[in-house]
Amino acid sequence: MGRGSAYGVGENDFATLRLAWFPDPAWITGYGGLDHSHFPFRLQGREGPPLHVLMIEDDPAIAEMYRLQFEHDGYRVSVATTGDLGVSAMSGSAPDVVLLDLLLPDRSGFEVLTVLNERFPNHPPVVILSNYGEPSMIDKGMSLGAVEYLVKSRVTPAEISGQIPLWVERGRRGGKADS
Amino acid sequence: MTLAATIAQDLTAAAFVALGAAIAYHWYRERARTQGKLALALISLGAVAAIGRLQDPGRPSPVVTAVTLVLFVASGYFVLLFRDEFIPLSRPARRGANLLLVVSIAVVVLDATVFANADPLVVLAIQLELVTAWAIFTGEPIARFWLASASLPAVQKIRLRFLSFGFGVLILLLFVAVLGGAALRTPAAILVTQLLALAVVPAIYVSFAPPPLLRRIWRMSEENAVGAAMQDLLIFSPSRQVLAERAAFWAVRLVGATSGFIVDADGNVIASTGIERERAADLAANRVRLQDGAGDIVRVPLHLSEGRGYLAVVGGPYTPVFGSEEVAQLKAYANSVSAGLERARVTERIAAIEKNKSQFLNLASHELRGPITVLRGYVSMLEAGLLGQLNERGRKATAVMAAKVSEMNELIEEMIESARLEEGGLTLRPVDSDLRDITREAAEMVSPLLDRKHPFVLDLPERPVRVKVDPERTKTIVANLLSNAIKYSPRGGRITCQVRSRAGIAKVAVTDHGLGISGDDMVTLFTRFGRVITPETAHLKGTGLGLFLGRQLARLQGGDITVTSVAGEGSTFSLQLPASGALETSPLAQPGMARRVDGEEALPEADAI
Repeated sequence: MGRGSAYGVGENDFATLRLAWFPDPAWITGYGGLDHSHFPFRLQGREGPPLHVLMIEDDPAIAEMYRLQFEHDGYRVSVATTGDLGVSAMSGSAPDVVLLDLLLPDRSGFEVLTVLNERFPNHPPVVILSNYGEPSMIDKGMSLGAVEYLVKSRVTPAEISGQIPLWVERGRRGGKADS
Repeated sequence: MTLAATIAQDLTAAAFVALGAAIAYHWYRERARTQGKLALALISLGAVAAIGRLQDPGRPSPVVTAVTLVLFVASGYFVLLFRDEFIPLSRPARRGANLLLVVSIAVVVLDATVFANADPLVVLAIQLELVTAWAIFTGEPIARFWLASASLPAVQKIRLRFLSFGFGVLILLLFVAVLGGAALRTPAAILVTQLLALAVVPAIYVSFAPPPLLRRIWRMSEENAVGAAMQDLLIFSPSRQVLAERAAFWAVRLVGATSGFIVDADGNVIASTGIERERAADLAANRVRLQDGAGDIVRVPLHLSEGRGYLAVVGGPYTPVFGSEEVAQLKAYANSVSAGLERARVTERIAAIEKNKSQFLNLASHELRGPITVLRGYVSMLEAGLLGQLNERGRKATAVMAAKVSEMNELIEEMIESARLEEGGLTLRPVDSDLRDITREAAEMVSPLLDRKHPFVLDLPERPVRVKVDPERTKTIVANLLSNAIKYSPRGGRITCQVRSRAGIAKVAVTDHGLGISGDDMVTLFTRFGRVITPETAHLKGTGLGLFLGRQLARLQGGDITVTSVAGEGSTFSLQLPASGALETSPLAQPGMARRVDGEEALPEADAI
């Protein structure tokens, strides 16, 4: 009988609790473990101009919040509030990574991604940030070539910011998720 | 031998007379209009038999003989009229039959007048004409009855077949008697033919007025089929529409009608069978009448909550009479149909409400994800000092906000999961796993909740416990059980988590010594939003979704969650899953199998500790 192996007795502190209640598949199928400790907040030892992040996001509160974090971490940020603006922003100064919302006023994020695939075959890596975590939507996003599908409420701005260099790197390697 | 033949002749005649009398009496009592013709046919036949025996064979009276022969021809003609009543004759056929009747009566009259004492050949011709006429009058209907009976319910079928059999034998006997000549006048031949004729009497009687016992026996073969159909109808019909259609179909089958329809309380035809919906609507609104010769239309009321509808069956050419028995049967059937329709309506309403609720839950929870993202994001940035340094009170406030936002996020995730579960959109990704690893990880997840008051014992077996499950979701179930154990033992106490595998069932049992659950509250424990609220638990937070989701997720994976508990002493919640290598259809896969909610035999381990 393997009786024993008592667990450490900690403090009942809810703030430190990170229970992954009913995890979204986005969480499971993606990279293993977004955690503050794993990623630096700033790009360290990187030469050249700052990475350019294009956010296609219609909710100004969310866009502003991410901008705050990203700029703090040393990225250049531009925001497009509709899908069309997002597509036209691609033809100007090409961003290094695109954060794409799915619910946009003019068209869906999937449509935007499809247009990007057609018009800019070598477009930078696209990360989908959505309020929906349905497996069917994740599958669709990934099959359209997104490098990552994240449910917004599951990740903090710092966690996203920390991932950006990895996505850029993955985009440069020309691969999608390394699964 | 001669004496035996005479006795047989007397007996047969007496039997036919008795048959006629019995049918006359039966008919008088029942007044079944449509059976009148058949009754007249049989009464005439009885009269023919009676007169035949009462007359002195040595000195036959021409008038009596003529009357007997007319009665004889008439008995055949009545059978044809009976057939006409429920399988209408075509116009030429009716004209031909009437002509035949007139010719036959003329032949009888001639026989009694002009051809009295004519030579035997003429007599034979006359006899042949009469017997042939009778054979045509009765033979065509009985052939029709026999064919029509194939598609009818058991009782009608057997009744018609007995009738066909009886008249068929009579026709045969008459021809044999006329054509057989001297060979058949031997006492032995008479004895045989008379006994055969005698056998016909009960056959015809039961066909006309089958005793209840016989009907029950005949119906027995069909009762199982109808019973199964009724159960299918009332319990398993997916919708009210389908139920109504099946009900109409079986109503028609039940009484052997050709078509039927069901009219709802609002007057609309909701189902029809054997008849077009538009025509049924016309019939229902009395806009058209049935064609001549078609059978009756019988309506029995359906008592529905919105008012009164009705079930109608329409008789057609092949439909036997709708008697009181059929109507009574139909009424009993209609009651079941009413109940079924009511149940279907309630079920449909509940399903619609459920669907709305799920949609609302889904929509609301996704809408909530937006604001929570912003709250959570800013709080995390505040905590990280990205928005400027906070003083001590600010940091404390931020920590509380962070905790509350996480809690809210958790609730939203539970709502989404629950909505997804009900919409069937939940996809499990089962992989071969070791239940010990899953349990260990779940224990790690809840370890921050543990404190000095709650000694925790993780009891794992030495050998792997192989299960094929979705590891993340299974971990969630176990973590939920563990956090419940901690949450609902506010005064502390040992928490034991035991993993075992026995008889194809892998089990994680979580035991606490907390508040426990009383028998009454067990019912709501696994329902959605079904939190057990008592003075001790009122201040504890939760959506009441955890156990509901846990059990649903367990069942989706072929397992279940069971509980034993004693109020005030503690509870044991067990997650049971089919162990790998066990049969695909685990006994646990059947809901309700392993539900033990009796508090009596609770906590065997508790005594040991």
